[in-house]
Amino acid sequence: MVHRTVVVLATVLCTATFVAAASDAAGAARTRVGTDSAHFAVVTVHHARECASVRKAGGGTIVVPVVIDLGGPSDQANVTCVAVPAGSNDAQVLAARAKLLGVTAPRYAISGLLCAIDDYPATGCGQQNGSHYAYWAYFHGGSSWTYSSVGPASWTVSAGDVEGWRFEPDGSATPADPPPRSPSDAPTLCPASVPPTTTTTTSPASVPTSTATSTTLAQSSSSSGNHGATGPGSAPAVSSGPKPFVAAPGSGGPVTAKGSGSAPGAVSTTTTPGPPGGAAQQGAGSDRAGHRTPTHLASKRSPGHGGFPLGIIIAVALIALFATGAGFRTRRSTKAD
Amino acid sequence: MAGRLTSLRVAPLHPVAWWAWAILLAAAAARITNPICLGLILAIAGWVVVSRRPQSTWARSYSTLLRLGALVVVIRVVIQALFGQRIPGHTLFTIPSIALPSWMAGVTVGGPVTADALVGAACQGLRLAAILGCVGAANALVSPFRLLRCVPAGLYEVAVAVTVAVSFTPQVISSLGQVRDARRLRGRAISGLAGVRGLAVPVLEGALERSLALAASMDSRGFGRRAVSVTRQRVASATTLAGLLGLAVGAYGVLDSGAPPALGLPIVGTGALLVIAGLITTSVGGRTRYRPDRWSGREWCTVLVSAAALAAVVVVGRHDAASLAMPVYPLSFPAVPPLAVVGLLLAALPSIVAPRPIDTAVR
Repeated sequence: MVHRTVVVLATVLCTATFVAAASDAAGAARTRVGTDSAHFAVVTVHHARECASVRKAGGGTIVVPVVIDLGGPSDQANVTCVAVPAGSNDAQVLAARAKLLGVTAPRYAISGLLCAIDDYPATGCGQQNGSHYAYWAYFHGGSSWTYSSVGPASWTVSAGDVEGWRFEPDGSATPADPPPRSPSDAPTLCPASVPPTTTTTTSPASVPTSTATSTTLAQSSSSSGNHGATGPGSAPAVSSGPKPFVAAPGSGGPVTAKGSGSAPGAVSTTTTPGPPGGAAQQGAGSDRAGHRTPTHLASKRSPGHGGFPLGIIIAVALIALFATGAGFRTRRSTKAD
Repeated sequence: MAGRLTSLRVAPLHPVAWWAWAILLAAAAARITNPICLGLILAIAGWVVVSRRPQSTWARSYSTLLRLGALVVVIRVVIQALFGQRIPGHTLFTIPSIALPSWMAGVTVGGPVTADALVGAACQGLRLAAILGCVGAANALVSPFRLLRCVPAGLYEVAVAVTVAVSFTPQVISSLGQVRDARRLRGRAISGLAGVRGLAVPVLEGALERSLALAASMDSRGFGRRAVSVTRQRVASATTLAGLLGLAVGAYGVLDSGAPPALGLPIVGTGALLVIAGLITTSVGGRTRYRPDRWSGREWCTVLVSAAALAAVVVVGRHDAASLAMPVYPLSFPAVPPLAVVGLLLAALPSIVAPRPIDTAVR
């Protein structure tokens, strides 16, 4: 009876694995979101379809600000306002954020440990050097940043929660690790009164200045759709909400800047990046994986990782060889009895 | 010369060599969740067992331990589907979920069941099954009584208890066969719920009785009595105990990365020295052995190939840990680390190097 159950379960699992892996491999190309040392930038790729579905979402949906800080000395925290159904856990929030921005979904280890957000770091998962770890630290916002005692899959988000992640290249895996460099309260990051939008902002170290700037910019450009003049530290504004939109890190992929719709709250995709944004993105965009990975994190990616190489076929053939040999020997010895 | 070679050829391999081979292979399996490497370990252990196991009661326990391993995988997958943490992936179906209070934060009941989570749970269960397979292989290849004969005099009381415990599993299996035959002759159920209920008590009781009878018979034959003075015996016991405590504390210090370095290898070394000193003190007592198992090149070969397999896995783990793990979130095909595969294949060498068991050699 155990045999039959095991065979059925094994068949189901193998089919599921093949289907899932095949669909992953055939998935649409994703845009990388990278950071660079320039002040800010452009970007965020939005798909009109997703924005529309977010807009249509009614009751039971909450807007959660997600702050991602890459942890480097010149990095800035990146905020995304994500609309998720109430009762989701943080892993689902991160997945929704990745889908919204069009970047790779977060990668986890088999134990549930978060390895990479936006494919950073490209390899390795919580690498240990002595008693220090290179890992993604999880914080909860609110009035201040609190080091989380549970993992992303165990934390249920509710209205007013702020999810913060900071990469610690040399962390101690204790609450003493530094929190993300951005404000921690929800109204500053994503005013909940605004219908679910998908703007992103970067908040440089000087918090009060940026909020002031953003508010000013928002008020001044409420009717126009231009990506205003951008000096260092200021941000081009969108008229779709009181939030300035800046942005994230240039990368080599297709970049779409968000323009303003005619109605407040409407978000549409246009393909006219402002000149400074475009220049900043083109000039300073560098692939995160190449630029960012510290030496102790970069490890050789094993060949054929994620593919279907010759190695798997050879290994499976070896296993089959041993198993059939053992089977033959057993049958021969029981026959001889 | 030819006669000596012949006798050396059929003399069975030293029991400690087989156990060292099995334990090093299990230690390699504990570091891997890659199902390809784990499948290779299981296949190699099975191949070596089938090639070199003697025809005896305990040798047939290997298939039972394999089935136990399969059960472990099934249980792990079911628990993951019901209570595991929900990370988004390719959802297969959804179990109605129950909202738990916030102080039970680590547990989720119900929710979407993803293929990624099930595959990850199956790989973790397979790791346990591989460890069980290696230990089962050692059990099948070596009689626990032969292992007991090799134990130093200072540890005999401990060894008797360990032998009784180790022989419990094969006793259960042989007892199972006998009780089942008896019930079948009486026309009673042997499968299904009624069958299990009727089998459980007689089997466990019978196995325990037999193990205790074994211990009593060993004791009555003076097994473990030593011809040394009481003082010497006490000193040796105290030294051995202190050494074992030091080994335990030092093992914790080595395995825990946060412990101060002085707590690690130095204490392990001191503990090992104390244990060896204690054992030597009691061994020097004029105890002779009947036909002791010899340790020759074959034993070294067996232990060293398994150590090479473990070393290969450790080296691959240092340089490219992702290839030893199954990529689960997102789900994709596992990588095949060539160095680890070659190292594991080396561990199949005892199927050639070790001598054939005598009863099959005669045929």
